[in-house]
Amino acid sequence: MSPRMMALGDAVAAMVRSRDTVSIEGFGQRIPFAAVHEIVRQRIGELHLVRMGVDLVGDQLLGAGLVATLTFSWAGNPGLGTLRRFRKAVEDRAPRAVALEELSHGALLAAYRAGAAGLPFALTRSFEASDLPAHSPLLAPIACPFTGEPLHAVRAVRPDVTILHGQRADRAGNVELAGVIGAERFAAFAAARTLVTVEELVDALEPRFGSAIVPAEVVTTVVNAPGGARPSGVDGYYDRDDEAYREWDALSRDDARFERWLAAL
Amino acid sequence: MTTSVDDAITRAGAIVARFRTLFVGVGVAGRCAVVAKSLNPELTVIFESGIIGASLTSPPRSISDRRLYERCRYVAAQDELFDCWLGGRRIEAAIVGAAQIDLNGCVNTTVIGGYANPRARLPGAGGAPEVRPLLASVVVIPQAEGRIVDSVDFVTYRLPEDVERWLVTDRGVWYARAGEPRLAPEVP
Repeated sequence: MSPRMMALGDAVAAMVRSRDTVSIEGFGQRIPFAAVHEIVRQRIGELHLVRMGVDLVGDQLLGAGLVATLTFSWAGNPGLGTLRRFRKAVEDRAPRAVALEELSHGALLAAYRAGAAGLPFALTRSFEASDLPAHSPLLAPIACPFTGEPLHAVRAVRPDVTILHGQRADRAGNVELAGVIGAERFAAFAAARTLVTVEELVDALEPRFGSAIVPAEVVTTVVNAPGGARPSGVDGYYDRDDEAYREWDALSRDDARFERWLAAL
Repeated sequence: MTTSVDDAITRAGAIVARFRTLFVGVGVAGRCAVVAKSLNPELTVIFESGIIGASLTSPPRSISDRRLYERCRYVAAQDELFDCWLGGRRIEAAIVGAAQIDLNGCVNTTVIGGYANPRARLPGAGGAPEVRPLLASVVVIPQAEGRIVDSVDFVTYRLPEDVERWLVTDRGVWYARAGEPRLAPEVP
């Protein structure tokens, strides 16, 4: 079945449901801001958000009170520091309490890969002396069956829906990613359905140096959304808008300004 | 005039410049890596975004900064970076920042206060727990006021004990040889 091409509002309404486990990936680049803003506009809530680097999109969903559970490995404004809405959610439980399922980058990447491979868990050596396993429901101690070495199991992540932004898609729904390649492909393979926004639709994708493909078999819906990753960058199309990241820091630390941003979105 | 913050960055950069492959964390570690790369142009600089062999002529805006890979050796997918470079211990040295550290090498980047009711929620682990360099681990905290404690509020991870470790700050430098559990003040 070839992936459906849809308008953004329709695609989000059809594919993202209240209480879904929603993975949003793109490691500092190709971040699907337009799709996330559509979730906020439609006020789709009680979400279980899964994201390695919870940056501005995570801050916006948390600030809007749409996230009930957060699986993550880092939460900051890249290059600038703290995320104000994330901190308010965790420290003050405002606008609502959020359950944290916390990992490291390597462990969350492994959890996606286990989910994509149909395995129940992945293995990690990252938490030997860490306090995190005592607080993270995704981690459990396990011994190597061959040597007895103490390790940790990381529960597999299987999103209901994964949301990505790519450079280009062809008519069949194959999606090209270029630049920094993070968990995107594994998050798509691990998910029940995947929504991808792209800069450009083309008839056919010719192989390009340094790019990766999310194959049509794991792409449910493609949305043509030029600029859909702004203010993050998309290689070959536009660079990160540093000023917008600084502006978010100023806006998000002020409750009234944040509420006005939310109302005007 | 040079400040002690700049001195700490210069000092940390000089320490990691002697190695061949260097993993670089977020924030201030990037400024130290610029110093190291200027001292040792052959240094292979690696970021958790997967960038291998960055040219690094100016401090990165973030670890996914496209200027980091406009002239790099290649960009590895993150599964290669975490599984093969970090898990496989193909990196000689690492430099990272930290919110809080103790002299047992326990690093906290998670919370100040309790986990369930933190006074201050920090960004969390990122990729730092995966970093197990072969030879040396450096933590740089340019303004150390209140950040070096007897016991951290939360152990995000512990520096691997089987490598040399340095803690470089504006207040001085602490060091442990491979196998020694505790960092001690380095005699100037």
